[in-house]
Amino acid sequence: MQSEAVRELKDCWGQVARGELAESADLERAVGEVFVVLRDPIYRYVFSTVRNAGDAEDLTQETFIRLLRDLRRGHAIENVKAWLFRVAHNLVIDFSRRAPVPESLDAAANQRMTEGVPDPSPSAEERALDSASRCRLLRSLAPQERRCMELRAEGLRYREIAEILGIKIPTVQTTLDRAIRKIVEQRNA
Amino acid sequence: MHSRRLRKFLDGLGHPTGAELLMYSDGELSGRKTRHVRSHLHHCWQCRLELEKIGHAISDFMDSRNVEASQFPPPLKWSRFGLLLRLATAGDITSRPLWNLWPQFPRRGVAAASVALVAAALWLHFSSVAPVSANDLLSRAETSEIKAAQGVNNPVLYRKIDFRFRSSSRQAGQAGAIESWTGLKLLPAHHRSSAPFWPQFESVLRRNRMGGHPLLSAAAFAEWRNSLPGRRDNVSRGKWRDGREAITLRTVAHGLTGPGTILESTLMVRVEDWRTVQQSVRVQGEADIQEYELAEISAVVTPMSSLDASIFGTPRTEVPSRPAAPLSSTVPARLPANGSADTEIQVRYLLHRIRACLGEDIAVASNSSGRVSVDGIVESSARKEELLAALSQIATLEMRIRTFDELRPAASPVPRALALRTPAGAPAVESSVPPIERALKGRVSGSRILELSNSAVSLSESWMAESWALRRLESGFSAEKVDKLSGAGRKMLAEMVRDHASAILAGVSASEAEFRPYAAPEAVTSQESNADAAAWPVSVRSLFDAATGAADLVRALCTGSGPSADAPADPIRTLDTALLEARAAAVRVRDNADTIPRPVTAPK
Repeated sequence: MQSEAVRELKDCWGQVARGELAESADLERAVGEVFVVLRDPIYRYVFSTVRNAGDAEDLTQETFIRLLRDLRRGHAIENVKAWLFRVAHNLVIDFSRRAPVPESLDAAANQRMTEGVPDPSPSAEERALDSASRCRLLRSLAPQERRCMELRAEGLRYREIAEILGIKIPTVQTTLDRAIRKIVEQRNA
Repeated sequence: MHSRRLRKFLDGLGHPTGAELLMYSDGELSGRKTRHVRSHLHHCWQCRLELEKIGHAISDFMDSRNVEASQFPPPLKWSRFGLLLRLATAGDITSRPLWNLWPQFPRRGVAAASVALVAAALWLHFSSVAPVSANDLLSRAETSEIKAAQGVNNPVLYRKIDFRFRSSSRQAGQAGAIESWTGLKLLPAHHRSSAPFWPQFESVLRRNRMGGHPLLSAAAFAEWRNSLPGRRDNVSRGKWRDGREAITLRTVAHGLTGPGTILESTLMVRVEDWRTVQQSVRVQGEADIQEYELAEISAVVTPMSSLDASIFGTPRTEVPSRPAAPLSSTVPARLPANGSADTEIQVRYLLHRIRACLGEDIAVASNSSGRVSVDGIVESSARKEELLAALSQIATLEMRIRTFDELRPAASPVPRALALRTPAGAPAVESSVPPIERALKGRVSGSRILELSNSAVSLSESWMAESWALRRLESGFSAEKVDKLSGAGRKMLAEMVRDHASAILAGVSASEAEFRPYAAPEAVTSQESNADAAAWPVSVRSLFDAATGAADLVRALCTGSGPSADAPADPIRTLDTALLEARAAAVRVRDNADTIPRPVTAPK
């Protein structure tokens, strides 16, 4: 499904590049289909940093709008998925510079509670504790470690992660190794 | 050689690092290193344990991530994205750099020569070269309509349109006006015109896939244009009648003939706001060429809540009680010799001819003394004049027609809608995914699903209004009352019944044709008619039930709301069946219209 949508987008881009596809409707449709396939992974990645659902939604949509704009300008995009994550990452970095990011997911959850939105987290004590420990686990990771882990969890190769984050491949290797060791330590503790 | 073997032996004894194990589990090691780590793991329990720890750590991370994702899931409906995408498409219609069109050529040389040539050509032909393509122009115009709706709750676009008609067989042209209300969020378009050539133009629109759309609509134009087997487009720059800059798309159809076929249509879009302001349509008549022209006089976007519900054909079965008001126009009552039933049918017939029976707030009643009265509130004084003129030929009539202005001096017929906005922080109305969307997802594109849904809802509203008009007719003429009608009266009743049934049939058939390609290929059979089903008023009631049932189903399946809350397993098939039944009932009523008003009397 994912590869089909991406392949179709590439075909579309090929037609745009060759001047065969002067119409915007096909490109719009193709981007729409890629959006359906990749919106949730991009959203999760964005949310892991901005920690606000509304902002994550806006930035995710902006990412795909940029895809459409770039394709319309005839830019070549070989790896659509990695490109989207890179744009999302840049948007998140820009956003983080402008707006303060909540300290933790607990803060975000508290914010939701105060907004009157029912908290969907489990009410049972043990599940709450489990949830809290999992939040701690994620919080124990440095931002760069968390980003590397998130991108790896989305199935991206080390080379792609390096491209997205603008770092070298050995740095990705050591960052991921460090993140894994931290999690192992948390587990043992 | 010897030292190399020794090194290999020593390497084999060393443990892989944590990073190497992680890379091994991620498939990121080279082939040689992968083989080495794999063979090492075969005999090293310590490293196998380390690898297991890595696996557990990954598992913990993924679990934590999933917990977080369940607490803060992605939105279920990305309702704004479609709009953003369209806005982006429309906003970014800039020419692609030529560099990107020729990536394989040496850029500088080719471009330098080409730019000079292209610049010269552009200069020579500037006046005829379009700044945008036909599709881009239509896309911008459609987006402009969407933008106009932003910030208004349940917006309705109200337009006054100058409407002209000319035929090649006549010397003089005719002119009239149209009032148009277009729901911008799944509401139907509703038009009202006193022009005698309006019904004929409506049938042209229906025949050419423009029916059910708002007038002066880029979407309708695009639908017609896309349906053509062949076409030639020409986009040119010019000025509208008020002097403002405009772009005109002229599309000439190829390969279509026959009366009622649109041969050519022109759409003029104002550059300033990309609003469609004028459209002309050239139609093949029986023995002539007909030309229709629509030009916007004024337009305003208003919230639905500020409009009278009857505008969209919301049926009204009884006249609501109103405070007594002086009669604005009273004609001395003089009952004809053939009684009030004939007068009433004549009044209804005249109202029917000017389409005042489709949900407009006008009621016809006859009192105990046999007097027939018409009581109504109309939108404008022009409409009031039209009604009075139509009914003036009946002398024995009490008329109480008032405009909104007369009824409520402070109120305005076209509300000051632009100032109204959705209150900040108002909860957004979320609805479930419409069953039609679920059923068609993956089979057709999202935009096609939306198009289908909009078209179906629009058509269903139209046949719903016709169904209610038929129902009002039926409830106003009981079997006993029909018995009292003269031959001419019966003829009028039959004609009205036939008109309404035909209109329902047209709407239902159009919807059926839209959905049929997606329905399961099994044969669908309608209920067999019986003798009683053709008798007045049973046949009309069964048509009303079938048509309104189908309309309710359309609304429920296409918008995810309405009375049919439980979605059927196969919505397309269910809808197809309902439409087929409604169509069969409409055909029955239409074909038996001449005999229907002959009531079945109980044997004595």
